[in-house]
Amino acid sequence: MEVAPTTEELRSIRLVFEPKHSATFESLNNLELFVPDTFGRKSLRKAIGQLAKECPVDCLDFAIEGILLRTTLGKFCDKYGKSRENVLEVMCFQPEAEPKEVSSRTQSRWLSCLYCLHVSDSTKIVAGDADGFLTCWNWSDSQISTAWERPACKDSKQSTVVGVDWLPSQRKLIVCLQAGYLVFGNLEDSENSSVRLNEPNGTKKNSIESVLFLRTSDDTYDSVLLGTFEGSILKIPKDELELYTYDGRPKKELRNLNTEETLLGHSQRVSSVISLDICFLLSSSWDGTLKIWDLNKCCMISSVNVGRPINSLTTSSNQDYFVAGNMDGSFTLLDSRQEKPALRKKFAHSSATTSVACSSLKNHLFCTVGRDNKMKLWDSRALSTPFYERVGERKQEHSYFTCLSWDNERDLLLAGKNDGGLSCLLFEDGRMVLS
Amino acid sequence: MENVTTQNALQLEETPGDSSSSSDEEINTIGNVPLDWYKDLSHIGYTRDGIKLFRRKREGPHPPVYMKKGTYYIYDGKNDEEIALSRKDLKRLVSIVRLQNPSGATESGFLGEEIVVWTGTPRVEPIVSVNEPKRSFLPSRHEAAQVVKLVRTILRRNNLNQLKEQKSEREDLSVWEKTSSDQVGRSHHYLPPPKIPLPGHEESYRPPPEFLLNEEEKSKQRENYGFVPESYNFLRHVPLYASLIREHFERCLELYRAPRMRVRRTKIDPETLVPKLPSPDSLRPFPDSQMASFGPHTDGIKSISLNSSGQWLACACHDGSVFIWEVATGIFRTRIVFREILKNDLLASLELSSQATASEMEASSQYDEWSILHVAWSPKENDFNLAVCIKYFVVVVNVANILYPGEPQDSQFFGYAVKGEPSPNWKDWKGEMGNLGRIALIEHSRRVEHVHWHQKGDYFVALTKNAFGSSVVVHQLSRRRTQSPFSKSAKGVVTADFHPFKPLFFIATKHYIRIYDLAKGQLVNKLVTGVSEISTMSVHPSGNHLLIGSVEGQLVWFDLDLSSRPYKRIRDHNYRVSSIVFHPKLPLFADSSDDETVAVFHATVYDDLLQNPLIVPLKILKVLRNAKGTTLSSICWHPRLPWLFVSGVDEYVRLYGDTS
Repeated sequence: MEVAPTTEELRSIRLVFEPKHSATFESLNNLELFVPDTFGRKSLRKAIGQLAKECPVDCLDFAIEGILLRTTLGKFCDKYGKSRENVLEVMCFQPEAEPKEVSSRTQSRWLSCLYCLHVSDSTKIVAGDADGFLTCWNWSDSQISTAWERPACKDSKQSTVVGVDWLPSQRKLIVCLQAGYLVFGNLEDSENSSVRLNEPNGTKKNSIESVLFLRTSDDTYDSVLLGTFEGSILKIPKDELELYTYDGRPKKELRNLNTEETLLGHSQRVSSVISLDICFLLSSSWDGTLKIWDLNKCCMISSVNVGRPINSLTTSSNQDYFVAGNMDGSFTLLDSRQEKPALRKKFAHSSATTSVACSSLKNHLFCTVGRDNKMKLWDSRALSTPFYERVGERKQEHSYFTCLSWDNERDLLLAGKNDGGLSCLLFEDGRMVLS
Repeated sequence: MENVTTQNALQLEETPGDSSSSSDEEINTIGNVPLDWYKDLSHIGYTRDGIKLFRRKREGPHPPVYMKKGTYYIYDGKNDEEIALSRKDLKRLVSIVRLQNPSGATESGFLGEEIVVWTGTPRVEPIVSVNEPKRSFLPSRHEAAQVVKLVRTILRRNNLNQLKEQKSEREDLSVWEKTSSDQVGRSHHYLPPPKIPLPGHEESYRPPPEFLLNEEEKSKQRENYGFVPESYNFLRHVPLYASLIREHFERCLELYRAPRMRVRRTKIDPETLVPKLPSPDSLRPFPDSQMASFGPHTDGIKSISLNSSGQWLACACHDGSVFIWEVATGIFRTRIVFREILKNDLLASLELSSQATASEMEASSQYDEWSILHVAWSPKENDFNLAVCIKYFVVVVNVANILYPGEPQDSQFFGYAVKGEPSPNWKDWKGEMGNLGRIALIEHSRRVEHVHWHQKGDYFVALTKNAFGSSVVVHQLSRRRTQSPFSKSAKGVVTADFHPFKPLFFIATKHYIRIYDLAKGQLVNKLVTGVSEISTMSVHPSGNHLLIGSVEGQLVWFDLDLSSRPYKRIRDHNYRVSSIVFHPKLPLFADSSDDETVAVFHATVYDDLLQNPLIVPLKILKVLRNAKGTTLSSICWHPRLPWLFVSGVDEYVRLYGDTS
């Protein structure tokens, strides 16, 4: 811990060089100011200006006891009933370093989902596309090389790949298709078996829009949850799944998988399903709501109305906030630390936001991509401008980013495009050191 | 007569004196009775105790006033007393006798001349000889009317204060006060005379010589009745103004000819004429900006359609192919090229048998002939039947196998067990594209313009047209039958549609809309539109309202419960309204026009029959024009969300949504 530089002019400001939380924050070197509330806004600005002279700070934001705060300092105190004796905590932080980008483009299919898996030492990126194909890349030394490309299902069903998951202990790749199939396969060979989720001659056809593989450990599934276009959430129970995950190969080639415990509540397409806990589930829908479900009781706990169709949802690693990407090109930030969820809307893209992803290592980082072919990286504490913005390469006239994935181990941000392009953003740490 | 008056006067004089002074000390208590009664008796009356008062002895009769020992006395007969008269009393008596003021006014200070009303002596010429007329004692007619009026108002219990106020108003009018020109104008319709230009030098009585005219000019001026300046040495030499009478006459004539009525120009605030509508922001959500686009397509888009769940978007292209997109992600799912499918040998034979004349075939170019005019999904839930109008055929395709691969191919015909023989124009044909499944081809004698599905997804109506006429044909999918509900060829049919849930059928011709009951087979209603030509029609999801678009860019709203006349006309486009679509769930509708705009409206329809529908214009969306300059746009609503799909000619379908 370093000693704070004393500034005689600013008597009531205490500068603390102290990492806030755990090890992930250490490299960031937060610069904190503790200012009493009686300190006026003007003098606060002056103080920050003084601070900025000493050490160059690009983006500034204030936080009061963990709540993000922009410019209306006095209004905020009135609104939240902060007494004047309360101490405002002003955080200034250094901007993130720009990530390094590696991109690759092998095929020309519409990438719909991305997954990063780690087999022993090597890292592989698996992408599913709209035509039901899987593409695998090898990631080594910040370089991408194509490994293989094959149809996800044996009889090449032309259906969008909704989700991909990897069971490391059994070395199984599980793929969910939009038309209602779960495909169990291996990474190396194209041998696989598919299970139907829809009834064979049923008139009602469930179009699967989102999937969540709920794992208890590395090799066993607790359940698989599927969000459908009609607005219901289907659950495939554990015992049904075990037949396929343990035995290696099912008895029959095509089998029907029973789904049960439909969580009813959404009236429109369930765009994404996220697990908060082993028994809590968060879902977002086109009807403009986020709903939290209790899986044990199979009931809805709470619902938040965002007011616009949600295309994609993500949560930060410590679940402090959720980010919902909306159909109208905005994203909504929900602060879950409040009693009443505080919503903050921000227009990020000129047309629909297709996907959002949160960093798993850095709690405050998240990324949005939109149909305007732009990728923007945001800091949840300073939402005024994205700290990194990139326009995707235009191979076609009308190409845009479609899906995002943020890998835990390598801190890799993967972004897929509709023309088959894949972008990998690599974040380097430890560059931000205060002089 | 004179005596009587003196006696009366005396009595008048005495009685108050007695009554006031000696009423208590009265001795004789006989009261006010004639004294004659005691004339011959020895007593004159009684005391208070009833004792007789005896008459004193008197000698002979006495005059009323007599003198005894130098003093005048007056005899009181009642009390039998002699009252001595003082000098003052005597003087008063004398004045009474002389018919003068008995109080002696001259003495008491009255100095004016006495007015003698009646001297007592008869005059030769009386002052008024005529008797007073009777009417002078009666109230006058005017007064009687006033009284009657007052009585009536009182009887009517009107407020008397009002009357007083009226009176006071009348009193307030002052005659002599100076009145402003405003008051004059208001009360008398004052017409100001025209302003006369100020006189110049030539109108002076001795103008400078340069203003004077010579003889020629004078004669010319006189001919024109103009002013001829003349010079006089003295002002008194100036004669009478010659045209004074004429000018007076003209002014009078002008006043005479002036209109008697004053026409006031009505002042209207233009803001009051605008109907009060709620602000569009209070009526959210509605589409206002672009959210996504679908494309590019291989050619311009003729028609778009969204399936019942809102997941799949079908776009019919100019080059004879249909694109299917997934709305949620924007994934292009498939492209079905009908042109290539239909160009088989199978169709070649059909082509020959079709009744189209050779000239018609030549008239339309080869390319245009294969363009798809209209595409429509079946509105039934979980039904993936797509009807496509191409050339002389309606092609019905079940695309469930493409969208959800791996499903076993159903052996049945579009999920229906076909009963009976199909109509001869139905051709069941299995496509060569493996997953396309079963295709039904329905042949018509004319080019098929568009197709409208019934809500249950079994019936659909096709409108066919050629240069000679048009006809309406109803197809039934489950029985593979074609019916022609109208025996005569319906001339000039623009569009036709089903009622959402009743067995009613709407047919729009150029000027009228006819509503038929399909169960009874008769005309129910005929709507008079009053537009020059109907271009499109849309039935509200409630079925009680109808909206048509006209060629001159007008929208006409019909309330079918109200009347067969239009409820409202909306002018919002300069060119032809090409299509109108109601939102199936939300109170919204949109119309597209050839002037490259799409207008979005809010339209709340109330169940209450007395409340009129609320129509509010919300937003105008501009549609891009392509290089060719042709505008063919089709619009389509999402079945549940406030999303509008607009297709332009630039090979893209745009999705507009609410971004508030």
